[in-house]
Amino acid sequence: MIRLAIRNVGRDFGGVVAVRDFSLELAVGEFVTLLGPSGCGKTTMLRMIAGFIPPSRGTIELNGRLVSSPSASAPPEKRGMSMIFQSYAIWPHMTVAENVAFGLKLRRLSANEIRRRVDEILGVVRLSELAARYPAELSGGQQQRVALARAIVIQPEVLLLDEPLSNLDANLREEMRFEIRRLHDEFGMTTVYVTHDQAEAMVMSDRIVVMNQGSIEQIDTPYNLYNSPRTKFVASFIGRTNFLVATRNRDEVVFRGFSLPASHFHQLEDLGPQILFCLRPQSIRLSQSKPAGIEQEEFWIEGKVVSRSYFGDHWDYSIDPGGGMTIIASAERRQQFHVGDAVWLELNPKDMAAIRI
Amino acid sequence: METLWHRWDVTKILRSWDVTKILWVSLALVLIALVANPLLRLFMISFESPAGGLTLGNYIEAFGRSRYLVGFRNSLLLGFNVACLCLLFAVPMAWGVSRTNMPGKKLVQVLVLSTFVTPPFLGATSWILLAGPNAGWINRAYMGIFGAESGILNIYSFPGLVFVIAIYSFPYTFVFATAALGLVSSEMEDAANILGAGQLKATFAVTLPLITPALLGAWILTFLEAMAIIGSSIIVALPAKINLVTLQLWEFFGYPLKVEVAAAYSMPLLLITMGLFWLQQRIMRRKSYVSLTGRGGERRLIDLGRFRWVLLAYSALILSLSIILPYLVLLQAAFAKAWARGVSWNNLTLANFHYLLFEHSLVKQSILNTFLYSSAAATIALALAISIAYIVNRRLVPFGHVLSTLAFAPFVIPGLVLAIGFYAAYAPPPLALAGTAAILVLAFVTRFLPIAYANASAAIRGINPEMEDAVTILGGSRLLAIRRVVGPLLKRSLLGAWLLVFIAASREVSSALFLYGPKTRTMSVMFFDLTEGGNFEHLSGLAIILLFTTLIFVLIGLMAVGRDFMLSKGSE
Repeated sequence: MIRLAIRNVGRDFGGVVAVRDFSLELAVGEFVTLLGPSGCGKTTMLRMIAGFIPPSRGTIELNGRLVSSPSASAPPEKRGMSMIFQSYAIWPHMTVAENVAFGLKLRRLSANEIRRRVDEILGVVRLSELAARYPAELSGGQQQRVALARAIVIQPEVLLLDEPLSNLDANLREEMRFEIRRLHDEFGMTTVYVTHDQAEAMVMSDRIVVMNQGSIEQIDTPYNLYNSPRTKFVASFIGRTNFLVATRNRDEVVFRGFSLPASHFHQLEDLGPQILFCLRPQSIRLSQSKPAGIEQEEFWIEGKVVSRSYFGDHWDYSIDPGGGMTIIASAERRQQFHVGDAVWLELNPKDMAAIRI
Repeated sequence: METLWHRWDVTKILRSWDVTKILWVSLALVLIALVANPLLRLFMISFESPAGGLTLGNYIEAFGRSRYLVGFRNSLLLGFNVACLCLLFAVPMAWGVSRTNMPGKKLVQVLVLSTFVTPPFLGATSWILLAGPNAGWINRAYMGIFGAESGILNIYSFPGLVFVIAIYSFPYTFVFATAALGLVSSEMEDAANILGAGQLKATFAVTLPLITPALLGAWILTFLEAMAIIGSSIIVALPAKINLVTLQLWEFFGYPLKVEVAAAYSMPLLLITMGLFWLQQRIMRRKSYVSLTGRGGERRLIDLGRFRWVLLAYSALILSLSIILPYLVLLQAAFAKAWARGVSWNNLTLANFHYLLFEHSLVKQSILNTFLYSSAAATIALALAISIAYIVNRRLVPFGHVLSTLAFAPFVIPGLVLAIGFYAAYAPPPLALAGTAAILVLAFVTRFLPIAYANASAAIRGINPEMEDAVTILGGSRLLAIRRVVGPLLKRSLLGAWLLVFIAASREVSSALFLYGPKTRTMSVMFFDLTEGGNFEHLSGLAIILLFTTLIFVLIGLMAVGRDFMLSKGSE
């Protein structure tokens, strides 16, 4: 069942396009993240869903009912959604309990019911002891949980989060990721999460929408985004990667310094003569000598270690396979090579995602 | 051996009594003379009988008559009403300017600034021309339109007094409110919107409570302003026979002179002022939520739709009452043979200015005095302020905060109380400064030292000490660092501070009225001299000269310092 349908939405600000032709359907209970660098239009898109900004083009439907179009846009207070803001926007003149009760009071619930639900949600976010405190007396993480409680207590169908973790330090950020995902699962809300942090997006989301300069680059699960990026932007924005340029030559794919048999690559036909491959450093296996007597012998090529960095849990080796380009390969910490050593690399076509240039 | 020992001792003494320590001691002495001593003398003299000896008689006389007590009650009432009216005038306007898409914001801000720099006693005078019983322009228009027997407004009344003070005090409230609103991020309101609150509900449940501490602070400030204002009181309350604390003090200071009784009578005013300022500081500090959670989040303007014109109309109404109508009638009267005859070619004349500038024996002198005293006061105040601010902020001496406390102290002393203290301390022999230029200049210096200090301190705090360290590490002395680095960097803000003090001193009434002598009248003293003649054409002429002078210096300030001039926190 579709909770939220965004169809061909665009938004201009004074002639500058902030969001271009954005379409997305969210199923009930789905957790979708809008991921992209600052200025990519993700927050603008979120604010259009919330109803703070009307779209310049396209429509947004909530439960099949039109809520946003260029001509008419329901105000945020009529959408029954909830939102968590980058600054938390906890009202400092109200106690924790008053903050959380605000939305319930607007819904004219009885005093008893309000108290019951505030108590319950404060228990869920582990803030019961701090109900009577003012926000100024709370830590950043506690303020964050007040914001969560305030947004969730009204049991919204749709929860929107605008970079909620960017003001927290690294440890707390990791903890809150799981907290948010846990609450999402517990209450079954449809969630739209905006962030520029790819790690956040990867661990929390069912699907990720990668945006760049106002446009959608790719919509996919975290697994597919990482392993089969479809654009150069997605490949470089998510994780580290090697970009390898190649040309097609009858039965071979020719790289600088080596070539691989074309029969092992899929779907190269519609990409033209020049092809860009994305290859993760972690997908490359290294060996001191050419492994003998194994299948797919033809994937192994020889190179030379140009430089190396040690990270404690792994090594990064820059390797020149002979054509003057360098490939970065990760190796586990015990696999030690020295600069200048000859080394064999396995470049498996199934780990190489072809990207249109 | 002995000579060596001796030499070591001398250098040790020299080292421990270096330049900064000497500066510290001399600054402390100057501040004691300017701030502490007058207050101390004020307190002591209130217990002295004119013949000498301790007595409680001054207090008995000061509070022994119901007329004197009524003055207190009236002043408290006045302060309360003015402070509330200021909220009514300023808050909608401030909200419109800082949070909505109300049109004409620039103009509104310029006119609020103009209201701010208009001396309240000039405004009060123009309101006599506007709402004097029967003859006032508004009353005549009313009678003309409705054929009424008499006008509807009487400025010579308690409501008239409240209005005429509030209409020139509301810029304080405006500045406080816009500053606070400027810190409320839009996300605070967005959060209420998304949970189901409309714009109106969000404004009242979130925005207004957030700026309440600032509004309380402004309320207290305008309350105290109204309680201590002497100019408007003389112009409106005196003819209306409304007794006020200020007028009563003035009476004690007139003939026969009762300085001791005046000192006793001013004690409650001093205590109320200090108490309320203390309260204000506590409120602003303890409940300063806004600055606390203001980080993050942009600020977007609220689209008011058609209501934005209503808000503009309201602002225009307030500002025409404070600026547009008063300036029009003052201009008309200044260039008129008889103001009541209205605007016509044969009523137009320059005779008033000719009279003031060439025929009157004292006006020219008073203009010269004003420039002289104000620039002297501004220069001395700034020199003091910058020295104190530098050694306090750079922590060059222990107990620096004593100096800064003393420098800020005059802010909580009403001008006329300070004047009485100055009189008590320096009018009698041996100094016998009564009626001299020196006592006026020193009183101005003291009165506006807090403005100078706040500005100087902010400017110095804005200069990273490492910039001076960079000079010394390259081999330069601290003095070289001050001359070549600190000085040039401070130039602009110090010019701004100098102009602020100059403008404030050039229109100062309360201390000038209590301390001037026959040859040391300033323009504002001159103005009150002329009110006794009741010639409104001449008065308006002098008002125009005064306003013109102020305007020139404000313009210089705006050009040199930029838009923040005066509307920033200079007077905090």
